[in-house]
Amino acid sequence: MVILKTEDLVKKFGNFTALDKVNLEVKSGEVYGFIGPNGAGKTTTIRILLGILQATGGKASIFGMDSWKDAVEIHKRIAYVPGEVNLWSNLTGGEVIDLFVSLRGNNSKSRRDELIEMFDLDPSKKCRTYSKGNRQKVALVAAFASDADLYILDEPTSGLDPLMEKVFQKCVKEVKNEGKSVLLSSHILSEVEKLCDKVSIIRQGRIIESGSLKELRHLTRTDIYVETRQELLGLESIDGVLGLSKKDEGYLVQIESDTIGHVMEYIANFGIVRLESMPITLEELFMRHYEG
Amino acid sequence: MLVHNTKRLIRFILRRDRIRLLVWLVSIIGLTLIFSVFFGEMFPTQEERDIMAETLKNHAMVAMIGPVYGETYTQDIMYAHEMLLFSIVSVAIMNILFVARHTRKDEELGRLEVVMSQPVGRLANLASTFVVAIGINLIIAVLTGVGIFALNSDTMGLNGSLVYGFSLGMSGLCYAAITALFAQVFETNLGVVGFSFTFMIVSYLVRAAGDLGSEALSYLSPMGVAYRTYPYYKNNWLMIILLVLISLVFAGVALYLNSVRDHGAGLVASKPGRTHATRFLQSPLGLVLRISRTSTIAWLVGIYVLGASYGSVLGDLDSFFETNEMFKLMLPQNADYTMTEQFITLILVILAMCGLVPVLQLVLKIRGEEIRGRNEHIMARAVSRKSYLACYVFSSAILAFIMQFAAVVGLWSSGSAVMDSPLSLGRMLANGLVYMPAALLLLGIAVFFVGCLPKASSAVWVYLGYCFFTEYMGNLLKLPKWTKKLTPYGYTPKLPVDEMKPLNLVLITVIAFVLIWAGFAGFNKRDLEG
Ligand SMILES: Nc1ncnc2c1ncn2[C@@H]1O[C@H](COP(=O)(O)OP(=O)(O)O)[C@@H](O)[C@H]1O
Ligand SMILES: [Mg+2]
Repeated sequence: MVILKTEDLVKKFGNFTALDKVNLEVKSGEVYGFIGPNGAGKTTTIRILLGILQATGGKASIFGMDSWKDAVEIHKRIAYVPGEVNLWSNLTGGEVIDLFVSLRGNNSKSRRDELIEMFDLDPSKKCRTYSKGNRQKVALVAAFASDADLYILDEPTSGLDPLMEKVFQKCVKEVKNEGKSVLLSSHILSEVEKLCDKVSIIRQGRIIESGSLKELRHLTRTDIYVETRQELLGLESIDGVLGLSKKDEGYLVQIESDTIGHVMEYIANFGIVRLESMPITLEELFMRHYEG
Repeated sequence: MLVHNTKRLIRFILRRDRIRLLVWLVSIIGLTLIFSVFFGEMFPTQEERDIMAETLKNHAMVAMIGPVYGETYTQDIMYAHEMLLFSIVSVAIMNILFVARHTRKDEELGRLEVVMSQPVGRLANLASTFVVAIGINLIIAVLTGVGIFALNSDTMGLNGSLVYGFSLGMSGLCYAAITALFAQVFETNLGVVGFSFTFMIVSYLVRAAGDLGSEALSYLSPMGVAYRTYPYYKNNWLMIILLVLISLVFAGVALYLNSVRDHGAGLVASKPGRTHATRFLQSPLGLVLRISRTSTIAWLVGIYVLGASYGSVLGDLDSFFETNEMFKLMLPQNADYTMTEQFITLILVILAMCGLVPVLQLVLKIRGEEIRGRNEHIMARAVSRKSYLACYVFSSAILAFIMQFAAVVGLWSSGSAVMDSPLSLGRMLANGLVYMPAALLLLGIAVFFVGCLPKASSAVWVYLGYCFFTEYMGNLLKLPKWTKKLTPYGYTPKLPVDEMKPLNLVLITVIAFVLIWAGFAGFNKRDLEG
């Protein structure tokens, strides 16, 4: 079942085209990564999905309802963490969390206190004293404490330390296990890689790649380090080998992913002593899209 | 050494604050000097001043500006009597903000830690703050003293002017020292500033109580002590020495506490806030009321006091206006009504417009929240745009009513005490509430801007300023009639002097609702910034 969908979404700010025909489709139970560099249009897309901005063209819908017209109905079933969390300086974190959860309509704060503890947040402090990370924690606790069908998280970990990032990942996995859907925007690829079933890459308002991580890797290359008993000869002329360089006792080889089988067969002839595969990280995949 | 490198920190403070301090000093000293000349021109004859003195000899005015003193109410005494306390308040505000900024605020923001990690003494920061505070207060003392004398040498003596200047400066020093003390006690800048201002207000009130009743009470307040220098009359320098001694004691205690406490800590730990929201806060309306609570209460008290202080002069107005041509010009001339009645209509319009400030602030807050990126939290939850805007519009409409009510009650409560034939509260309320349609119209304009032209929202302030200017100064400056007809106040009947014009009121209300409707429609359609 499709939970969230945009069709040829266009958004213009004056003459500037922030989104140019963006298509996204998040299915039930998916954790969907939405990645792209700063200024690519992630937040704009999310704000249109939330009915805060109106699309210039195309359609955006959640749960089959129109993002703009049925905003309130939609919001009853989603939880949202904005990219820039600004809070009221003289309310405490605890007060804000309660307020946020209440404003969702169906009042369930099942895991509030447990989450506050997990994220190591002091809810008795005024928001004025919170750092960026702490403000983000307030928004995260409010989001995960509410029972939603869809979680929309806009760069939720940009202010968290590594330990808290782990806690965050745990929370995402838990809601995923409950069959909920998540749209997770990020420019930090490692976090998307660990959590997401599918990703879309956006750049300058255009989706330049979409698919499961597996599908995307397919387009890319695999790096291996190999040491052989006999001197490795003639590898550079084998189909699918993109690069070769000597390192220590062996070689670094870059191979087109879909030809890896027969390249390995060739190498095996020289007697493999040591083999390390270095699967391409999204970082590198991302770099290619930046440059391309 | 405890004060190692204090000199360099002094230079650092002056470098950081040079513009800020210059602006403060120029405005305080400048206004003091301008008023000293202005007073002479406004009340040129002794007869006018005597009547003024009579007007000020009632409880409300004594509580507000202190008792009339001296044998004759000469120009110099009149100036010192009417200006000293208010000037002290402004100097005190400057000192409180200055000291808090360089002590607890820097500490809270972690800026002081950077400084303390350098080779500077433990007390260097506080000591350098004191030195600069002494410097600026001395500048105020000397420049106002010499300046007043230089500008008015024929009417105001040098010794008296210096006493006036030093009462200002040395009470400023007292408030600086108190603030420094609070900065050792409380952990947050807000706490320090809050307690310092509370102390200032309390010391103002204690002085008022002392001036009205037992004089000894006045000596408990720096303002009471400063007032008892009686510039141009007794010229009591002893009181100024007393102010300096009080400052030294507070400063000494502050320095001692500073040397024994931990960096970042206060003697009173800030108490933890609520960990859960009350039921009240868990709704959009609750949030709106909560975030505007403090300023609303402050404005309510303020408008009541303003109303009451206008009311306190209603007693001897007729004779006062007879002699002062300038004030007479401010009123519309209508022979069927007494000066007092005409004056009341002017006051009611002024109060109505002053009372609108927090009302417009409240409704424009939704725009401020948007700019600060906090509406996003609400709009991304199950709250419709219409209902969220309605929270603001509804509460500001109610506030408009309450403000006008408080102003009228204030005016009536002191007015009825001093007038020979006071108006009933009911009639006074009716006279005041006739401005509600106009208030709604301004509210409507604000809503219209928020919905349709958000970037230009502050235009509504310009319009309120225009309304104020035409109503307040229109008669005095003999502005053409049409200038008043551009505001709803120009169409509102000024009760009790004008006849009731129900049709005008209905029309103003209708226009107000059209504007509000348009604002809602716009807000429902437009992009929100955050
Ligand atoms: N209100 C606005 N007015 C004009 N330009 C905007 C506005 N909001 C965003 N933009 C522009 O749209 C582009 C996309 O921004 P955004 O969606 O915030 O990117 P991301 O979230 O991916 O970092 C940026 O170039 C940004 O400057
Ligand atoms: Mg963003």
